[in-house]
Amino acid sequence: MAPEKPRQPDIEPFDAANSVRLGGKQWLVALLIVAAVLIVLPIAWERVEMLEAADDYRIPYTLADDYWLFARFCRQARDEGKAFLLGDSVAWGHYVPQDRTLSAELNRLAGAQRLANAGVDGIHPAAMAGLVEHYADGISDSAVVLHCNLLWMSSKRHDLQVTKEFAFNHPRLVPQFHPDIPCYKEPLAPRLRTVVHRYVPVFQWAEHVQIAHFGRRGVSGWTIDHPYENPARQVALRIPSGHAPAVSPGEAVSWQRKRIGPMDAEWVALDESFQWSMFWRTVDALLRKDNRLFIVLGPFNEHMLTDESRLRYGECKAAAAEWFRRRGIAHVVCPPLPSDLYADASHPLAAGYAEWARRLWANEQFRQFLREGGPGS
Amino acid sequence: MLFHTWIFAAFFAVVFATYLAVKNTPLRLPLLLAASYVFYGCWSPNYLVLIVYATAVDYALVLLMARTRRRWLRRVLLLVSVSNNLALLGQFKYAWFLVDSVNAVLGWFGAGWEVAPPGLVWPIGVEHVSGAVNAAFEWLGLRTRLAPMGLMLPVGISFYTFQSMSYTIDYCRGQVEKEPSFLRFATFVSLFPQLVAGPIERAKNLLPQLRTPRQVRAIDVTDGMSMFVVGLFKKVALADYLALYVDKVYASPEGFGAPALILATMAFSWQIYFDFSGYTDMARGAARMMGFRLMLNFNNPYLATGLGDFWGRWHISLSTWFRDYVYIPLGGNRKGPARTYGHMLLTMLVSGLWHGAAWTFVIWGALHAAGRAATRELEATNFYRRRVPRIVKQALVFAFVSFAWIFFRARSLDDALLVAGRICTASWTDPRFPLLMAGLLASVWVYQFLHASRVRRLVQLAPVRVALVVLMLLYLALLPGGRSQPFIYFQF
Repeated sequence: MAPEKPRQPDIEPFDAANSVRLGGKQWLVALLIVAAVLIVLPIAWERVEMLEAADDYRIPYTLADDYWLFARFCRQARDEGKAFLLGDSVAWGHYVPQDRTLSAELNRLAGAQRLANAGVDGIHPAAMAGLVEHYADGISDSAVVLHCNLLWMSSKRHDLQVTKEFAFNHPRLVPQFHPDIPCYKEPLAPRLRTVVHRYVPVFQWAEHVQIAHFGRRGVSGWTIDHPYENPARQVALRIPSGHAPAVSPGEAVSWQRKRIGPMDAEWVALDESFQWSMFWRTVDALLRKDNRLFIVLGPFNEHMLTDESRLRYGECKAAAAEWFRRRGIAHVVCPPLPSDLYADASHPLAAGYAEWARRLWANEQFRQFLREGGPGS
Repeated sequence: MLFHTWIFAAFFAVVFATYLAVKNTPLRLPLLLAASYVFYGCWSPNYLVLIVYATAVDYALVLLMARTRRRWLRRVLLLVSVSNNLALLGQFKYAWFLVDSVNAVLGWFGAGWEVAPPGLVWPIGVEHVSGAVNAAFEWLGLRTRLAPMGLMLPVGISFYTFQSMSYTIDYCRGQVEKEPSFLRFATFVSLFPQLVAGPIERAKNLLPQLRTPRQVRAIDVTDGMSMFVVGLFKKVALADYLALYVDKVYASPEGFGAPALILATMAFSWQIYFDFSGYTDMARGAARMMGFRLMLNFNNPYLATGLGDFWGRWHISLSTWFRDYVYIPLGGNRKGPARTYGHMLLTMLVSGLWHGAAWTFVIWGALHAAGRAATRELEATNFYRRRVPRIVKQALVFAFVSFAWIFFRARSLDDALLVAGRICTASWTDPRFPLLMAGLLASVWVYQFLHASRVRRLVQLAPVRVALVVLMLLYLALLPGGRSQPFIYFQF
């Protein structure tokens, strides 16, 4: 500090420091080049990167928050004329491999790859609404089986109505500004970033590349863990399959063997429930896109509930069915499966999915909907 | 509100568009002041109380100075201004450091008692102040509450207090005119591009720019954009990337060998440069787009050939501030070699302390003072000036500055000594320094050498410049992951 003859700080800025100066026309050229690259890149990438959606494909567990991949998968499935099974980890098949999920069992019964598994692990109604609104252009003019899991209304915490902040899944999909979610305390800057990313495809694509090929840490974080490897070689141009379940096989046992429960869920009244309102936002978004809809309610593991809680659940279930009736939406209310076919409060085991699919297939309206894509809603 | 976030982009787009619409009307200053307070209040509305207070006091003191011709009274008023600003810094930045240090000494002597935490000193402790304000809010039936103030270090307090203080000193010295408009003076202190991390502007540079409507030409906008993009790239692509390696190594230095510690230290040298100069570039770019010219703050400091030269290139606005308001008033180099070195040491110690309330920063300042004292005579010799190759001088300066940064970066004095010790004694194990990082650093180094060399013409060819900007924008759009990191200098 304090040099005797200091350099005067009145040097013209572009004669000093690491500057790069562009004039008006040069800026125009630079911005045009950048815009062209950013528009073309995701489109070209989609042609180069292989998405081999084999039979009963589902988005891999590790790529659950790769929403660009979800959008692409939906477009591909629609082009193949498939119907969609949309839902949370119950639809996705948290405890089972991809060929034992509900969609896989139904496809087996239908004798064709009729239903695409568009379930997303960890998603909940508030996030599902965001997913459908912003990343599901591919789900349009299609038949959609929408799974309704009342677990998300089982407590104020599940319903995102508590004021204490906690980390829930898929925060980038929930409404960032309105309606307000009291337990979501993200600062303004990342919320705005999330909103911007929803509307700029190239940002979604960049996130896809980072999540799919660099393990979520991005290229820079990845190079810290793999200092001497070439990041370009990490881009395999092939998206991993979603065959494996989210949990190890040892965990795929019944809830009784795991000794969980009983569960004394309080159940939030539907007309006061935030998640329920978001479920309807999903329904409305799907209908706006000219989809034909069939809602599957349950089957929840009622065996795990205390008597009092089971009673309240029954009221909730009846109220939900009444909502569907009033809106004229085709639906089925699934009775509970046998107790030993559940892994926890709402996830069936592999045999549970098979039984659930058999029951659904036995429903004439559902069968017709799946075969012909209608008449739903 | 960080420059490299979408929220700043939205904020600036609104402010810039409105500014263009009103820049030739009386609404120009109210808009700039309101925007600056919104920008600053985004960190915490509490901070606004402090900046308004600091601004109002200095504004009023200069008005009082202007009313008297008595020299001694002006000096008293100046003393009040300096004391007030230093008291603000003392309360919010240095009180804990002072209390902890005093208590450590008392404990060492076995005194058996301790100084109370600074926030609880009655009646000036901030806890009492915020308690009184909250009681008033409650009495008025308002639900607003001030957060506990004892724990907060208001962002940018070191910058705006120094900027405000320079105005009162310059006025007392007769170097600037009295500013009659509170609105203009408040805008000078708080102009949002440079509010939280400088450059620390002088009244004689910025106030005249606020007095007349600024002309915003196309070249101002394109130049501003150029500065902003380079700054954004420095921060997001380079500084934040380097931070990943630096943070990993400095989080547990005992787990790394000498090569990793050396590389992390060198990487930190670049990280802090890219972080801080990136901020400055963005600040100057945003200001330039609105027609304001802020002073240059960095000028390729790692091309310096001596420590004096380094401080003429690094954080120039602070270096010149300390030169003008501390070093020269102490006597500078006018009172013989011994006093000159004494003044240098004192100035550097104060500068170290300005950066942070910890002994590591004091040692960092002392190291630079010692280095400057040791090399000052050497740098003046013919041998050093003519016989030592330029690149060797630059390498020596970079090595010394990097060594000193250890004390700046380490979490504690123990950690700093551990890093310094292990660099000399630890085994030579694989540093696992990413090749991509090494490549980026090498490119930047080569670029700055080219920029300062005869082949500069090549670097400045239009296609090369356009290509560089395109590459930077694509990198920024596609590669950064994770959350935005705050700027290092915000903590000061």
